[in-house]
Amino acid sequence: MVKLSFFVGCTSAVREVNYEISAKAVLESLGVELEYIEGQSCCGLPFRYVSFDSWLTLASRNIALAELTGNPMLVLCSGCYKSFKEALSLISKPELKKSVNERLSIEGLEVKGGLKVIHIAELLHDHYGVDRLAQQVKVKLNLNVAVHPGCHIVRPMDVIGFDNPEVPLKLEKLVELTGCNSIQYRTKRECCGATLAGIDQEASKSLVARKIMNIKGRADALITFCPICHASYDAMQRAALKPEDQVPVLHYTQLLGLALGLPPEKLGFDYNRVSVDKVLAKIKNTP
Amino acid sequence: MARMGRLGRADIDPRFESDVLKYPVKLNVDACLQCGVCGGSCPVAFSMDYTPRELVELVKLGLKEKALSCRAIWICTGCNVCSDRCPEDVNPSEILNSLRALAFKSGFKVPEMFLKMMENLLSYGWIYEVDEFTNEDRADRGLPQLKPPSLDSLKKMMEATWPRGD
Ligand code: SF4
Ligand code: SF4
Repeated sequence: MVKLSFFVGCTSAVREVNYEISAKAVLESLGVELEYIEGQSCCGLPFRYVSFDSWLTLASRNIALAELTGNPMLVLCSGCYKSFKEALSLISKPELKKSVNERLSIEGLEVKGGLKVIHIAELLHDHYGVDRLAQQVKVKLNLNVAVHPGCHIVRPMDVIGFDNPEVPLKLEKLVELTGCNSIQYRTKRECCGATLAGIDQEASKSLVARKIMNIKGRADALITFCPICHASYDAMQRAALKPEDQVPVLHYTQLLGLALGLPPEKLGFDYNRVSVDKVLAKIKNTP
Repeated sequence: MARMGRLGRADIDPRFESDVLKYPVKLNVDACLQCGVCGGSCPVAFSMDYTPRELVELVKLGLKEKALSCRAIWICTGCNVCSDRCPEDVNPSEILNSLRALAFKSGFKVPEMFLKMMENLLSYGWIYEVDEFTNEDRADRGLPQLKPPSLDSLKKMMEATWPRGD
């Protein structure tokens, strides 16, 4: 396996370190080597919504830094994934590339294009290989879980192209290989509404509550593939729902780490906001 | 659209649609069938004053003030489902991006969140505050320190692209 340049992203680095911790632990145990990209900053996506040029400059700046390493770039966050994949697709237009490079020249950087950007789910499923990954599983977890695919791991579909946006079977497969049963539920495809939290708390709470109430009683945990989705459900749930209605939210890499037989202490569970005790107890009691 | 109230000629800006279309991503406003697939798919339409379908119509009608001052453009989470499902490749999610950018550039009210994130970006290189506690915590977990990128260059790049300093 090649070495990967690692782009950590704001949310994993600051608010969701349990994702970074568990992703690193999992990849280390699978023999994947990561090298943090020097000088990385925000991927730019939050600014996409108000200033196209600010976004494209920030995204391209990080791409240019990754290109210097000569290795593909690994991201944990679906937002970063979208940001970089869209930027790469747009800078294939010479005029846009030219104007971006004028700005990057301030720092002596130049974006070339053609960088390979890989989301950790894509790495595990397509590149490491889902069958090979299944062979590494040491503990069949036997949980009922609800998959939350999230938006930008699959959308916009013409730019991302990793999995079917309406029925993301690759994500289901990644979850099922841990020995879990992935339940079907209404609103599975629905957005976490992360950006709403800063604009309309009540709307954000109702979106989060709607998903959790659809899985409550049937799922031991909700599984996410994006730190922003994780933050939305894990943090907002506590404001939106009574403790008895709350459902633990695990990063996929935490779930996979358990299945690979890694000790829970190595997977950052102490950072999960909704208690994961019941999930961990259930796994311990699995013969 | 009941929320429109009485409209007169003065409410119509004939250049509005072409301003919206001056966006680096392809938008097909004129192809819209008003089928409503976008609004029906939108996870946050319940909290919007205009659905994405109605916003496309506002653009077509040249109702600039309504479109740029409405709540819906800020409620949109940018999930892209509307664009993926639109049968005519109208690209409503990018139309909303163009509307927000126009609102921002033209001095309409913009949620504080965006300005705060830019402030953090220019101070730390990240959209969140990164203080010594963040880095102590990371060190305890064997994670590398978050060093700011070259903030001087970042500032210059943002000055060249960010429409407002406030
Ligand atoms: S889905 Fe497309 S064609 Fe239908 S109303 Fe929305 S933008 Fe118009
Ligand atoms: S991109 Fe915005 S308008 Fe379109 S479906 Fe998502 S939230 Fe609704």
